[in-house]
Amino acid sequence: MENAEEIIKTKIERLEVTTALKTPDRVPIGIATTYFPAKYAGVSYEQIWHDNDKYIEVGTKFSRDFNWDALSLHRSFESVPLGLALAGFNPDLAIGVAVSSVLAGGASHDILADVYSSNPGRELGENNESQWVIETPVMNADEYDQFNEKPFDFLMGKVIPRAYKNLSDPGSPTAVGSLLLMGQEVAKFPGFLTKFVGEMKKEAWLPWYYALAPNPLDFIGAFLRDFDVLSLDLYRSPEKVKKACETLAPVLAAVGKMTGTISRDVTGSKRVFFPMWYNTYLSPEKFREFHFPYIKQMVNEVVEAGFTPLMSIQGRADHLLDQFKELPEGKVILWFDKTNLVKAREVVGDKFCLAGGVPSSLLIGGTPEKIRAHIEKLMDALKGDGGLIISTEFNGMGDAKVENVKALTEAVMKYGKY
Amino acid sequence: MDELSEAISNLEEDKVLQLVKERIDKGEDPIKILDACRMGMAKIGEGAGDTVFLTDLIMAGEIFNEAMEILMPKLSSDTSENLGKVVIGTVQGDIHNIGKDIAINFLKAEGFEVIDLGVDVPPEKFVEAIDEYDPMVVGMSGLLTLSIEPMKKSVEAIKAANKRDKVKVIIGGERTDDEVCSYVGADAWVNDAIEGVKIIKKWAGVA
Repeated sequence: MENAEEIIKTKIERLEVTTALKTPDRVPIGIATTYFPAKYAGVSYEQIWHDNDKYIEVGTKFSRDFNWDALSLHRSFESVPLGLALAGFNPDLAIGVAVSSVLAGGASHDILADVYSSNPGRELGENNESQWVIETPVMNADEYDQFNEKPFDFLMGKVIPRAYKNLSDPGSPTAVGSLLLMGQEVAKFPGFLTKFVGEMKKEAWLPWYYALAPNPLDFIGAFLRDFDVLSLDLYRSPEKVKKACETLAPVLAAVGKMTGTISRDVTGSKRVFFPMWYNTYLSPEKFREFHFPYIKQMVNEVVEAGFTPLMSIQGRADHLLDQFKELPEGKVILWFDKTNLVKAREVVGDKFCLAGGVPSSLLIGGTPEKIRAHIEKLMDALKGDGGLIISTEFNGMGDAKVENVKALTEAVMKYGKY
Repeated sequence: MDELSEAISNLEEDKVLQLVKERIDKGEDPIKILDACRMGMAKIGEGAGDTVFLTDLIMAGEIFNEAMEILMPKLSSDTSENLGKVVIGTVQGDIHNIGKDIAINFLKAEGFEVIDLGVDVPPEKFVEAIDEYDPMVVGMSGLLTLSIEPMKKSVEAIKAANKRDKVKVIIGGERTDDEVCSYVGADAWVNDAIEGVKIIKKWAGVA
């Protein structure tokens, strides 16, 4: 793409101005989708998951043809606990291990044989979306004290052998060999990063996010206990759960800042992805007690370091909107999934940049006319003087129709102008 | 409300189990104890989405199951109420179980007999289960967009086996709506498990 560098600068500016609640030239569009670009490029989910050349091909083609202000097409998270277990030993190595599955594909799942994900072309068919369910909890209900006392030792000694089948017998040829193979993957990562970002930048690509800060309660639910048994823990051992969140918050904030630094330096994006899922499960009281305080603590720390938390508030949060007003105004993006965006604006006012507004179901089942009408209406309701980014649910639009996604893009360009 | 019902609706696990044991020891009719547990669960279900959220429903299901474990040996099968049979499973390709499990616990609490086919259930398993159990309702669960096709295939398999008019089909999951329901060929759809229980109760003529 000609003038790619200039275009990237314009995109960065447009997003930063919007986030800071000033008026940009146009409402930006920022979306996370891995599957739709693959389908669009005629590449199977299996290939995009495991073949990094195909992955780059998909990313560059999609960026060239759609030219969104921000796009993320990430894969999985399987190596995050192993990375975190190494945080006390060597933070740089820890980050390398953790992000190698997020940014560099399905290799760590194949090498470590984790109990978390089922991937396309492996446990699932070649065009099935990856799924995340812990087979059995890798931390027991009575082990919170051990975790709280020495988190990294506990993770490495107890959790890692349970979470990764190939590391289940520490010191065995399989375990040592798997770690060496993992080391080789991590060593390949900087080269891949340079190549991917280099090729994508030629297409004027800017990531929606390229840095990650998981929050404590979601981390416990997704990586240690599983969400349904964590629900029981909230009743049976609330203080221990909170202590574990206290233990995790500063470590995970450090992950956000370290990955934020990589993102800023290599892509220009200061946004740090704060995924939130467990909010869907919680009453307002439990959200206030177990989830939000630690998120707020991390957000403040990450903002202070100069980054922009991209709060990916997944599922529904209509009953929790009041809480978000406690976050630093004009410094974060509230990106909603199924929460009604107009209602969100009513509750949080004009103090926060909102992202969202386009349901996946509309892109999958709707028509270009319906989409144009939807965007026009959305702009009327929410465009204001800034503070709006058009987005869809987190990685939910894999089955969208191409003509609908084109209509979405054109409608934002047309009706989004200030 | 009965003290036991209230303890369940307040999610007081220890108190519930203690009360159930005490009442059994006192020689109370186990059917009455079961009814008190069910009333507590019904009370929880009423607040779903309003004052009651997923963690509460999961905890309620856990407490109810623990109470049932104590009560079961005291109940003879012919004395307990049975509103009908429901076969339920998460469809092929999807391994999420939470919505399905909440529906199961609350259906049991209402007095349905539930046959749980588990997760990643292929279409032919639904057909086999209809043959084996002769249920009134088949429930298909799935969290993701990718569950829509397998739901359709499962309904088609039931049709192909000439059993579609023998059962009502309900689909449940985050991504289901009217459009999905008619595409799949189901009789009803829900986004939340408690709503599904209400619909099944209507079908059974008890609501």
